[in-house]
Order: sequence, then C-alpha cells, then structure tokens
Amino acid sequence: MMNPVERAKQDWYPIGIVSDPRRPKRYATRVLGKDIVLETKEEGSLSVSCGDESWEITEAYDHIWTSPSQNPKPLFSIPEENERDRRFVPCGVVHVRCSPLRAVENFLDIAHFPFVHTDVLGSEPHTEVAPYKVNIDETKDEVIATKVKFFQPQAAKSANEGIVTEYIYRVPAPMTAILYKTCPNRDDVLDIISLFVQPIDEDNCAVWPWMALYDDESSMADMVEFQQLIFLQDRNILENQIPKRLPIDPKMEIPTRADLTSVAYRRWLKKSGALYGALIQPAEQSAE
Amino acid sequence: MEFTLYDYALSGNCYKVRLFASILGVNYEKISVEFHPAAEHKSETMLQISPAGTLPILTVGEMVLSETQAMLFWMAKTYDRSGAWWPNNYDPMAQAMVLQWLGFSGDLTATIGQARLNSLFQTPIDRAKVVKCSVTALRRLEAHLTEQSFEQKKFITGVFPTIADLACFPYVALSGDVGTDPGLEHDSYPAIRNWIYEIKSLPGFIPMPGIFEMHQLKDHEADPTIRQVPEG
Amino acid sequence: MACTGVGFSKNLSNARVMRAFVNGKDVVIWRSRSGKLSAWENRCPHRGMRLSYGFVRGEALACMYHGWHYGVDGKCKYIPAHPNLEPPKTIQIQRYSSCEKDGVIWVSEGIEANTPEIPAGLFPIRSMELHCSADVLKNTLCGLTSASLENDQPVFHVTDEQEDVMYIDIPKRKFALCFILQNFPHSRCFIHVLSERECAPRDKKWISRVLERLRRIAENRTGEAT
Ligand SMILES: N[C@@H](CCC(=O)N[C@@H](CS)C(=O)NCC(=O)O)C(=O)O
Ligand code: FES
Ligand SMILES: [Fe+2]
Repeated sequence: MMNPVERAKQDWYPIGIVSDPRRPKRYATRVLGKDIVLETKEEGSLSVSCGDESWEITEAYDHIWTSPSQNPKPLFSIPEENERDRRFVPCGVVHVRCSPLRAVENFLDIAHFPFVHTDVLGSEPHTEVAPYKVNIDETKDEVIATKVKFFQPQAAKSANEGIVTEYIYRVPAPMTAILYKTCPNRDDVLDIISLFVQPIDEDNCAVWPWMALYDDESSMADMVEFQQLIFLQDRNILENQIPKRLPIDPKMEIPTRADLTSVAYRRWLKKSGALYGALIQPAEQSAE
Repeated sequence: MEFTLYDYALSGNCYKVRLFASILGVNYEKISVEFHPAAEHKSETMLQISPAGTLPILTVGEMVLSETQAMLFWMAKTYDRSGAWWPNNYDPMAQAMVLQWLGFSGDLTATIGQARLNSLFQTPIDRAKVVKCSVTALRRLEAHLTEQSFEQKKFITGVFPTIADLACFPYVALSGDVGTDPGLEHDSYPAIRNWIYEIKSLPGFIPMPGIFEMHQLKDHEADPTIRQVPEG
Repeated sequence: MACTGVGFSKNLSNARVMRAFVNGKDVVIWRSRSGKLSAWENRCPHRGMRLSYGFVRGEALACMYHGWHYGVDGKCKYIPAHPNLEPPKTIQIQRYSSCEKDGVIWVSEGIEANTPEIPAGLFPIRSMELHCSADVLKNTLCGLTSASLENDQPVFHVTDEQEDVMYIDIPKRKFALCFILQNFPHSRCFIHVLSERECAPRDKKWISRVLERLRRIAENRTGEAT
C-alpha cells in the first residue's frame, strides 16, 4: 500500500476563498507539513509554490484548492452548485489543533448535538439516535449515510422552532465531508453544509466551512455567524481528544450503533490507505 | 427592546454584554457583524456607527459605547435593581476595586484575547510574548482569588459578583488557547477553576462557543432515567 | 507505587471536576454530588475526549462529547444516544486510587491505595503552579541563603527533604511549612503548601506572596521567569 503522505498528495486541499479582498498578495500557509505560498497577481491570476516546485491550483465552491501532485485525483463534485437560487456562503477559516481526520469524523457525528450544540442542534432529553443506513458507494468511492434523523431545537438560522431534521452525509474525499439536511423553510429541497479541511500537518488543520442554502431572509453575517458558532463549539472538543490522530485500530475506541458513519469512514480510510492524520499503531498512552 | 448590540458570537467581549443582559433579564436587539472573514467591523458602514472599529458596540438613542467596561457600568446602573453589580455611591473603596479589576479585564483582552485570535485565525502576533503576558495576567488573578478565598470571598471584589467578575470571566474561561498544550494553562489554577464554577452557577448564566455549560444544573429537568444512575 | 498530592480537598467541592498529572499521566479527579472522590485516566473510551471537561450528574461523571455517564466504579452506566441500552459491562475507565487525608487529595496509579507520609494536622495554605521542574525548585530552596535574598526578606530553611515532600522553616515569622511537590509535563510542577499551625488570613496572604517570590527565583534559574 502507498505510504500515507504519497496517498494524501493525490488530493486537493482548500487554502483560500476565491473572492477574499483581504488576502495578502503573497499568502503563506502550510499543507501536508509543507510551507507554501499562494500568490495573487495584479491581473488576479493565482499560483501556488512550495520552494522551487509549483503546485496545481483550481477554483471550486468559492474556494481555492491546491494539490502537490502533478496528476491529482479529480476534485469531488457537488452538483447542487448549479442551483442558482441557493445562497453560497463561504464561512472563513478556523485553525484547530487536531488531526484533519478527527475534524471530518466529528462533522459526521450527530450524537454529540445535545451536549456540544445544546439548544441549537440538539437538547436533552432528545438524545436518542435512531438507526440509519451507511454504505460505501463503490463507483464514486464515497462514504454515504442516509436517513439520519435527529430532533433539533434550532436547525438553522432560519428555523423558529424545533424540528426533526433528516440528514444525508457524504464523504467524497478523506478530508471533505458534505451534509444535506432538511431546509426549515421548504420541504422540497435540502440545505447543504460542507467542511473542507486543509491538513496543515498530521496534528493540525484549518477548517473551511461552506454552505449552499435556501434562505432568503437571514443576512450573510447571520448565516456565517451561525456556522462559525457551531464549529467553535466543536473545536473545544476536537482539541481535547486523545490521541490527536484518528485511531484506525477498532480496539482503541468504542463505537456504538450511533457511530456507524464513523466506523465506515475509518474502514474506508484504511482500505484506501488514506492514513495521513491517522494513528496506525496503538500508541503508548502519552501524558500529553 | 432596551438597546442595540452590534455583536459577534465568537467574541469574548461581546459575550460580556450578552451574559450580563441574560443575568439581568434584559431584552435587546442583536445585530450580527461579520468579524471574520469579512472584517465588517472595519467597514465604512460600521466605522460611521463607531469609529473605534471594534466590537461590541452598544447603542441607545444618541449614546454609542465601544468599551465593554462602560457598557457593563451603564447596564448595571440602568437595569440592576438589586444594586449588587455596581457598588453603591457611599462606598468609593468598593467602587475603586471594581474599577481596578475592570481595568485588568482590558489586559486580558490584550493578552489571552490576542493569543486566541491568533490560534483561531492566525492573526499575526509575537506569540511567545503574548503567551508570557497571558500567563502573568492569569497568575495575577489566581493570586488575587486565592487571597480572597482566605477571607471566604468567592468573587473578585467580595462575597458577591460584580461587573468586574463578568468583565474578567470570558477570556479567563477561554484561556485554553494559551500555550501549546490545549487546556494546560486553563487547568493549572485552582482558585480560578473554583471561580469559573461560581460564575457558571449564577442564575441566568449563558455559555458561548469555547466555554462549556455545566449541564448538571439542568438535572432536575432532565429525563428521570438520567438522574437515577445507580451507585457503583 | 508512591502517591502524588494533587491538591487540597477544599478546592474540589461536590459535583466538580479537576485535571491533574500523576507520574506524567493525564488524570481526571472528580467528586460526586454526595461527595465521593474518584481519580481516573483522563480519557473517555468512546471517542477519546478528556473527561476533565465533563460534568457531574448525581453519582456519575458524564463526558462532554456524547454524554456517556460513568459511575464511581468507572463503568459506563448510560449512553444517551441509546437510552434503552444497557451499556456493556466491558466499557470501563482505568481507575487510579485516591484518598484524602488532612485536607490533601492523594492519587496513585493502580488500585491499591497508599497512605501518604506527612504528619497529621497540617493546615492547607495554597496550591501553586511553577514553570520549572520540581528538582529545580528543590535545588533553589536548598540553595537559598540569606545572601541570595535581600535583607528584609524571609530566609527559607529546609529542615527535612524527602522525595516529594519538603519541610521549610521561616524563622523570622515562626512559620513551619510543608511543601508537597507534584511534577507536571513540560518542565512544570505544582507545590501544595501547608502550615503547621492555623494562620490568620493576613498570615496566609503573607505566605502566599512569599511563595510567589520563591516562584520568581526558581523560574529565573531555568530562564523562564514570567
Ligand atoms: N476596548 C474594547 C475592545 C474590544 C475588542 O478588542 N474587540 C475585538 C473583538 S473581541 C475587536 O473588535 N477587535 C478588532 C480590532 O481590535 O481591530 C472593549 O473592551 O470593548
Ligand atoms: S467521547 Fe465521551 S461520550 Fe463520546
Ligand atoms: Fe458538532
């Protein structure tokens, strides 16, 4: 099997928002432990360099993506980006001291809503996670969870009362997770929230949430704030999980039926060798 | 609606006003300002409202406040019928102590607040220096609260909380972002730990992202199966 | 296995949680609503969350992430995502032994409780963290002479030294203090200071400030003054 770094180099990673007037002309950041520079030229064209190398670059879903590979895997698709009456909301970036894989896994988890997103995405005593379905879509090579239902006091900025929200989750790349959820205003469409994760290195990441919503009422600031609020609540958890890297050995942590998506995600990572940010050997319990 | 607050959910300074309003039971109009990524607080529109270019901003009629210490004072004088959050006029010494620790709360924004903005958004700072100053500030509060505890005082200026406690609380409770090891700074101060529990136990307490709530306060209203955990 | 002093009983009220390090290991220490003390590995077996961020529900500690409840025996009692499921008996957190004696909380690895070896009847003054190792602090204390301190300052006098406990006299004020040392990671340590006699608040404050002075001196030695 390919080593984790080589495997990770085949994917695309977010490093900026396309229309960000505040990004410096030379913006320095890190991907997969390498220092890179995103340069914005006078006429607006973009390039990414890592020392003498130049990296591949593309724009999609309001973000700038880069890959160290000369021949990267195609970027995953979100067909709903063509639905022009959605509002597309890049939510900025937040740095987290955790493995990029832990950040994705947390996004796939609903059982934490009542305790971490109390009175917004969940509340006691509505803590039960009903059975749902998880598959690996072999043709697209994605993890898919469907029929995930949960009671939510305030499912979105536009929600006025508690509703049972239904979710679909997709993991189209090791460091990307997309969810489709009940839209509080309409029952014929689903809102989309995704988490694009930039692997700074195996123990640190930067998270770029992006939304594609049907919401005509809320202000941009309100929608961005709502997503940032949710993610900052998660960040407190993510920075306090031990070990920092995602354990792949099933004996190291104890899943229940509510964690089927997480179990499938870990298996899928293992099978495809996407182990950058994973803990492969059960570690000596460290003091850290 | 008693006043308007220009607010950002992740700001520890904005949280001071939200927290105090919740404790006092005051209704207000909240307008979200996109601090990140848009830096809307520096936009021309916002600078017209408050030239200070910072959040929060509290407005009532013609009055525009851009300093949280002034906001807490005004809220205490206007809405606090108990008279406990700001000491009364016959006690200048007590007022002076509250002012002293309100001033200290500004140091917390300048140290822990900066360290946190750097951890979240990579804002440029001299991190080593900011961390060192954050530790100095935390130690100063820890020493003070320890001395208070010798006289059975649980709060910064006495046996009851004042606006000085609320002004200091957010960045102290968010101090997990100081240092390289998450939480180590936050978990190394026993007097501060006890004080945080006291603040979280105040009636009307609300959390903010990064500050967990004490779910145990709710156990009387929770599902009975949760309460009846058998003893080991 | 020797036990480690991790703090004072008075600093951990019922239904509260704290974090400490014991032999370099991250430990959660908590008191149930009725006051039972427990010390465990600071890691939830479900998804690894530090339990020191958790909350107390009656006689159980609940994890902040998904709210799993653990009874004082360390066994999982309740999984909120599956309210009707009886949690498997095998879900159990590694426990440490803990005890309290004369106002100090002691923790040791393993289940067998050890009795700490300090005299009975001391009065807790202050727990304080230092950014230097316990060894640096010890050397500092032993090396302090009246010459290394300004005239009017207290002269510490080490009267006895054991592995994790030191006895110190401050003759000028007639204080006899006991220092319990606790190592922390990243070259840090904690001292838990007790007095042989009951002190007035004014005396406690004086001792507390002397301790801070001691911290400045010890940290200067490691070049880590703050
Ligand atoms: N002195 C102000 C400071 C407020 C402050 O620093 N606010 C931060 C957000 S938490 C801010 O707006 N910073 C932007 C800047 O300083 O440019 C107060 O206490 O209210
Ligand atoms: S990690 Fe503790 S309950 Fe899930
Ligand atoms: Fe979450």
